[in-house]
Amino acid sequence: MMMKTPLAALALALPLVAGAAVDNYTIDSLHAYPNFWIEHFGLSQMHGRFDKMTGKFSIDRAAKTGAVDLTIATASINTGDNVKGSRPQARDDHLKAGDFFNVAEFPNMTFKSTKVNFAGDLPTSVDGTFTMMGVSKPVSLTFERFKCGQHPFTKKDRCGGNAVGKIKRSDFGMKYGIPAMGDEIALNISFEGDKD
Amino acid sequence: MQEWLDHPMVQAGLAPLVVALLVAAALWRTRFAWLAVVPGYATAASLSAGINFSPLTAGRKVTLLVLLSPLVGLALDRWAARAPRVMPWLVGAACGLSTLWVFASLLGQREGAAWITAAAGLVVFVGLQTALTLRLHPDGAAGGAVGVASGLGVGVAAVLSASIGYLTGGVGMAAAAGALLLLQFAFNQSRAPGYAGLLPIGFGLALFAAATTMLAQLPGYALPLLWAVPLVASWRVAAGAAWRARLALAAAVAAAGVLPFVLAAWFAARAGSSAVS
Repeated sequence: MMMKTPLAALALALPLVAGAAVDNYTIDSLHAYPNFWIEHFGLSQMHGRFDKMTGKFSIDRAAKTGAVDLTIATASINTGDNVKGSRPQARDDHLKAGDFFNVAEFPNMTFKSTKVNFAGDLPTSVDGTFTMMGVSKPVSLTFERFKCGQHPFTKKDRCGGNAVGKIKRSDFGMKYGIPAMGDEIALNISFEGDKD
Repeated sequence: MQEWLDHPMVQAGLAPLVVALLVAAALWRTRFAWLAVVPGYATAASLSAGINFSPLTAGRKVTLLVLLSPLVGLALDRWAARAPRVMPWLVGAACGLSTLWVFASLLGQREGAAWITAAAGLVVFVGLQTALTLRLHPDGAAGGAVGVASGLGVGVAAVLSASIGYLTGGVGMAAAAGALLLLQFAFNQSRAPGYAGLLPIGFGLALFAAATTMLAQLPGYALPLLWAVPLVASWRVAAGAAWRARLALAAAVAAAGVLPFVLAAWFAARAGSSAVS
């Protein structure tokens, strides 16, 4: 009986230990910047960002697994040209319309991970499914940086970094203006998230 | 060559005009010459953003219906003589109701009174625009004039409302209808467009305008002003004049008819705020 009690206690505790290894984080939308750039007439790179991204991510360092689930509000696109002045429309208006992101019909685009790849304790890349304008395609994002620590003011555990990747917009049915406006979109998603 | 085909003026204007001219000239001795309108439009659509139906978005439903409309028009041409006065209104009503399917994903985001207002507005606008245009089906001058004027008007309104796609679609349709006007002028012969010729023009351009309201920034109050084009084109101006004179007059009157619609889009673009939500 003396032997059985500690063993039973250990058996009961194991799932809790395993569960405790998974750290869940919620994206801090005020410190999340999904940036992108495309070629413009082969002359320059035009940069833009989405102002609103929400989501969650989790890491199990022991099991070297994780998950990422991001939602980006397409109507929050911002390329620094949203005041039309004397012109009929600003560039951001055109990007929101049916020629590009069709925000009225597709208010969100999403990324859901299928696999997080690790080097040591840190994730190095994430494979997943990117859905834009009703089309889902596999996309891989590489973490240029992924760091965790304690927020200096709130003292909460927090992770952040940035992930880069590339997509072809024509794969998602966004074909207007190709090739004058590049087909390839380079993504750079900066993020921070607080541990739940 | 590819650089040339990538130019917006070639995509929206020159290429659809040439394709429609070739098809219409090939079919000139038949009663199917007006079928050239849709290959003209399809040329503009495929050169600008391609034709694709998956996923079936509102914009792609519009393209699908425009491409199918001449087939429906051909069938209607066989029956139209049985009820010549009623048929345009019946077809218009069916086309108007089809907008509930076309724009279902966008209407579904609205509730209650907002849904009713938007849905009723779309049904009435598209239904009436289609019916008023179809009333001109025996008249090659008025039909072509409506196609050119409405197409250019929808195209200009679209670009003022942040939609290059419907600029291309509208101008492409105008160029194709213009090809039929040119051939009628050159051969000094009228060709009745019938339902096969005018259903893509009336229904298609109404859908482009409605889509510019739903997917871009054209204000809803501008839409009814487009009814003026088929209405003024139905006036029998210079009915006794020579065919070529009547053709030119019809085009001029239709062009005047589209001005209020274009001006409404222009004032909205000047006055409105910058936001598609």
